[in-house]
Amino acid sequence: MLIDVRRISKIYNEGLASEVRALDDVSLQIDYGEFTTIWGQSGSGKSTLMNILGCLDLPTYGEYLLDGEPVNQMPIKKLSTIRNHHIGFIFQGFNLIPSLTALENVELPLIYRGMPYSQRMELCRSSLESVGLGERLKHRPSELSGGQQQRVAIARAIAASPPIIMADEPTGNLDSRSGAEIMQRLARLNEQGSTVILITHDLRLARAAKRIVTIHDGRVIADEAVPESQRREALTFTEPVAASKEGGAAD
Amino acid sequence: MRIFQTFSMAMKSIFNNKMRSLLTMLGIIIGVCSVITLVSVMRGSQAKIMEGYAKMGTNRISVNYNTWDGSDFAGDLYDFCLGLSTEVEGVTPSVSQYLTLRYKTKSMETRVSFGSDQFDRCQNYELAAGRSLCYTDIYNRVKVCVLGSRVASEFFNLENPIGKTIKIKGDQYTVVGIYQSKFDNQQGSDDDMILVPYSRMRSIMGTRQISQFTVKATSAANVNIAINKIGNWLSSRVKQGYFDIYSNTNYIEQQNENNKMLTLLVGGIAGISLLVGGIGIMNIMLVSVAERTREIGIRMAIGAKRRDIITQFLIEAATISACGGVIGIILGAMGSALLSSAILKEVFYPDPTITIGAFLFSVVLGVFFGFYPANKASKMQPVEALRNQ
Repeated sequence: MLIDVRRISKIYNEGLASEVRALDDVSLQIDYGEFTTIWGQSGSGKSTLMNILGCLDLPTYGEYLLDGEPVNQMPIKKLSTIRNHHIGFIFQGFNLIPSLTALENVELPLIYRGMPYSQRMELCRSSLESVGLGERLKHRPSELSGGQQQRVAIARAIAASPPIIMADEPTGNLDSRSGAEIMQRLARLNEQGSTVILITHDLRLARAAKRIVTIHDGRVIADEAVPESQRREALTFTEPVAASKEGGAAD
Repeated sequence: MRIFQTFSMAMKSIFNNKMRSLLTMLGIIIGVCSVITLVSVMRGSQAKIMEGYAKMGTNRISVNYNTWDGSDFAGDLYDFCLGLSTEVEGVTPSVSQYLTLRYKTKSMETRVSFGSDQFDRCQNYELAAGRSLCYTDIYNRVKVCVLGSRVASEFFNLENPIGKTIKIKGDQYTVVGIYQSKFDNQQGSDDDMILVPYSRMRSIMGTRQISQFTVKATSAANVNIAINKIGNWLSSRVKQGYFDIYSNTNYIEQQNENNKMLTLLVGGIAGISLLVGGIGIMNIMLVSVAERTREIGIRMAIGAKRRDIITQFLIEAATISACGGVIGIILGAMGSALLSSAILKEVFYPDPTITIGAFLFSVVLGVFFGFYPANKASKMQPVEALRNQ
């Protein structure tokens, strides 16, 4: 099992009047190569869950085994290494560093990995080319459109081909054409062997995955497979509609 | 590679915030500039004073005595000093008196020194032309003289002075040599003199009592040994009267010591402004860390370790202060050149030790004061940092 979460809770201000149970006794297993959506309304705790799954945060209670190793007991340095080597993040707000160019943003995790320059450049270029930004290496985020920025973020996440890709509302700030493109890209990455975890509040997007985990008020209330027909519909449905709306010539 | 990357990013962020970076650097610039200027001007003035002493002659011991019972043992003293062959290189009487000299229609007041054939060596004179006194001049009380460069230039403008005669107290003295200038012919300096054989004292001054000698020691280490030996000899001979022996070597050492203290003091006071500059860096780094909280969160999320974040901010702080240091060094070099040419009439540049020292100190300062903000940045929680807008 790649991700094995056992009865975890995340509680803020525990014991006080202002106590908030962001996650309450959640258990979840995700196997290698799955494409899972964590679906829930805003405030349901899905982002908290992603932060814990992505080793950005630790649960208050419960146990999290990543690839069989307990995350709770790892030193901070090990957590950094896991985020660097095993997880590619795609955030809702792109989270690119504004003072760095597209290329430098994609390069950054590889620098932290200690990868030599020539290898880094090769991976960055091929990664940016695969998202169609081969011509915009020297542009800063402020010189790129929202869709392009998100594609830089994807390039950054996939440059080193990490086994897990986590995408938190990856289409949130984008028009539907760019959004559809990104969903297809995630599906393709999954087909190539990556475990993809998508976090969204949009049921239509959620159906692009093979499995939907529904979370509500910090609890998992449903966990079901997506029928193949529905899934194909979700992946193909978005584009023609979006394309006709946008006139087909975005970017 | 990673260090170089961080360094170039630090340079970028400095250039993106030009005004702020400049203001931050200002403290360091002023500090480094004032340390360098003050210390090098002080060093320059010290060097100048030392040069003056060196021109007057190093390892020089002045001996003078006076007796009330009329006993005169100048000859014995002279012989005794010359006998100390390991410590003493030369001895000369150094009695002198201000007298009026005449040449043709010109006249001037100058110091007439009565010396031996070792006068040049003891008082550090070099001949420009002719010869100096020799033993025969002294033995035969020959009326010859050697001119200091000021006297030579006052009396003999375009003529060759050698062979001409100068009148001192009614007697004609033949010029046999001229000394090189030591102090630009300044009035009252070593250039403003004329040397005659000490055996001429009686006819010029009316006394043959030689109460002053200059002794040249063989080395700085032998100065005090010679002083002790001569002092012991004198105290056994001077029954009624007094004697006095001193050397400028001790004085120079004392002067050096004082100068070092003063340099340290001045450097320390200027160093305080460096300290203030360092605090300025800490302040701006704290602002920078706060402003870039989200960036720090992103970096942590994609795998930066605590060490990476600390390194990044330390390099930024060190880069700012090193830039300030370099600007300060340039301004300090200009400042010391200007100030030394104004005060000392000679241009002194800061020496490499101080320059390198000031540069390294400013880098260390940046690292020291950058550590707290950098450490603070590295302790952020990635989730909270990312939440920051």
